[in-house]
Amino acid sequence: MRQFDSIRSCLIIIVGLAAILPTAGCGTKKKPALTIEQRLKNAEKEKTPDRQAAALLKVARSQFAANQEAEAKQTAAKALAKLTGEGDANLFAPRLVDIAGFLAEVGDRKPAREALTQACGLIDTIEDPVRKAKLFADAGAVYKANTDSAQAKEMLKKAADAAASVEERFRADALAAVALGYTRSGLADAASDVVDKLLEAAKTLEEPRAKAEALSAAAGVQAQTGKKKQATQLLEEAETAAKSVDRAESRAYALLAVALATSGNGDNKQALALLKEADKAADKVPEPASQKKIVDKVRATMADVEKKLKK
Amino acid sequence: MATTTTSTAETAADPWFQDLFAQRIGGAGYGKGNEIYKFELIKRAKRQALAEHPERRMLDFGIGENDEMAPESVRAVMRREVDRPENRGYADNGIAAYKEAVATFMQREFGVSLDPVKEINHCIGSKTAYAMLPAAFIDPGDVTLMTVPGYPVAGTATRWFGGVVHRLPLVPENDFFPDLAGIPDDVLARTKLLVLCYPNSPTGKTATRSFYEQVVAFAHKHRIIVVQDAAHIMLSYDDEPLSFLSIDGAKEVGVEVHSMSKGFHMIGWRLGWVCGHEKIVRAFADVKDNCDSGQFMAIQKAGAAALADPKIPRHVREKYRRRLEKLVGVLRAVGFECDMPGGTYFLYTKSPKGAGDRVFATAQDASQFLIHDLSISTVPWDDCGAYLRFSATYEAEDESAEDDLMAETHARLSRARLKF
Repeated sequence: MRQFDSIRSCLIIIVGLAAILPTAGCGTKKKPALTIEQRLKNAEKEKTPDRQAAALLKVARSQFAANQEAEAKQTAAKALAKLTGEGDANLFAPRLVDIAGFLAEVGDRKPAREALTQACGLIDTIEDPVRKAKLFADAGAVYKANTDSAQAKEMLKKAADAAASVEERFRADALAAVALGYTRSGLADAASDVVDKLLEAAKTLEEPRAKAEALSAAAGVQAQTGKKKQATQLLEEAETAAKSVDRAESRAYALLAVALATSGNGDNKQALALLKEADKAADKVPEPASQKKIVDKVRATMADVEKKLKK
Repeated sequence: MATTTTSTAETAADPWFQDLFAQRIGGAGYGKGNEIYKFELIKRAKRQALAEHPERRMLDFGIGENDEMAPESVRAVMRREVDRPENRGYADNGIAAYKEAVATFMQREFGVSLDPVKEINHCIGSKTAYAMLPAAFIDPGDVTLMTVPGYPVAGTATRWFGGVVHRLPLVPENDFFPDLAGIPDDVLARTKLLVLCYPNSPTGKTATRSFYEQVVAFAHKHRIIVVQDAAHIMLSYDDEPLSFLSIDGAKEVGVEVHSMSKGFHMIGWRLGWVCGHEKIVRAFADVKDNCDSGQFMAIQKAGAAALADPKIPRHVREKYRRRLEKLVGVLRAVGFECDMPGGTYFLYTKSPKGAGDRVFATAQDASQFLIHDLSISTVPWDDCGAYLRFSATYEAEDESAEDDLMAETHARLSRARLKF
């Protein structure tokens, strides 16, 4: 029961992470209701092993939610089997961490640990330090959920090291992921140290969009760790930075980032106001494909926030 | 290509400046690495096989360059132009005659209309263009998307400018196209360049109009510059050669880099061009202007003559088509599961898993076995699965010699009892 609660907390935080990070996808698409069997067949039809694994994991989650635990474990094992061969680290590692997370959630610790070992070996080979930091942070949190604190700490340390090597402009994003990894693992002091670094990184940025996004990421971590007042203060600074952006597209993205973090901090009314401004800026983006991308993101987020306001 | 080092310890043999080498080439450990790269391994194995079996001819399918000289008509122009005093000086960013010949060629072959003054710039071989283009876009932390396996030069340059390479695996399950939809959002947010290569070296895959349309939409959506490597474009077998720039909107998002090497038998002449969006071409020219002073004008004039003759690339294409068809037949007969490639002069095929009682863990192992035991040289690729690359650029005087070589290849491979 305790483990389930802690996993639930982790999941809530993971959902929060998706809401905080400025580049996270938003909104949901309505899909026709397919049976589990149809979804399993469709998963097999995906072209590449990583896509097959991702689709199978979704089915496993549905099965678990429908109290079909044995079937869910079987499907997760199939998903894992898709990733046993040679594969690209950028494609296989995140899928392996996701599957490990699910296996930890359902209490299948041994395969979860094996998946994590394979994933971390692959993450080590990834060149991009931002990706590396994010994936190690995720892996660390999943290790913790799988009751392996020592490995969790080690992976989070690797995440922090990778984040420290990220170019200044992009460091805040990586540090935010590391801070959340520590938070998910219950390592509050370490999380707090990373947040300090994150704030330091955010405040040194001169470019207003980058600054707004970094401060929002920092605020998001503060909100997740219950420091609402500090988060609010950071969000005020982030809003000022976002509103000083001239270029329409960058302004829209900056405002979207602040709005997401504001919503994550519980102030959905203010988040909606910011999203309306983001929408105006998005409308002014001259290039049609880029405009559609940001307009879609802003409007999907608006819909989510409006839903929260109605609750 | 890259330099890996394993030791930074100072030794008596080190020059006084050993610690002055830049980190991008290994810093103080530069030149001390003991990692042997695959082409060196191939060279060593070939030397050893020749020494141990001097009676056995090396069947060399590992060569990645044309086996013929440039056509006589092109060499004649070169001979004439080399004696003309007006060709003696710096060519800087290129001569008008070459740019105009390129514009005419692009219109004739692909229906692509280009302004020769603003939208075309020559380069001293396409390799230099890949080394220079990242200088125009990549700041520290920025990402270049690179297909793997592939030509690594733009990736190396990206790293040298402090950028990061994100690999896009080319696998048969995805028809040797990159999975653009699978790139994480946080990577796309930092990405400035997408480097493609179609017809693809080494996989031989050719692009489709629909794929290029997706690329254009992707580039617009994510604000990414496309650099399409068209070095093998005239070696397209499954359809007419397709230029990225012939797609609506392509010129708005990028450039295509062409080469005189493959399609015109001018591999050592070092001549190519960058064409497409005016401002990207200008940025490339500005970087280039700070790196070199242009290719010798006589070579550019010979290149213009080659471009003006549509028979040349057709002749080259038919030669390699014929050779590849024969090669496919031989390899299939001994168990390789391979098909005629869509383009390039390479046949990229799954590596055998063993031979007789021997087991190959990698394509590298298989390649070494083929050289040592059969005197057949190929290039192994282990980046995305185990593959061997057979090149149709082997030396053979005429079609009869090609047939003899194929018969010998078949005989040797048959004896090996390859397992797949």
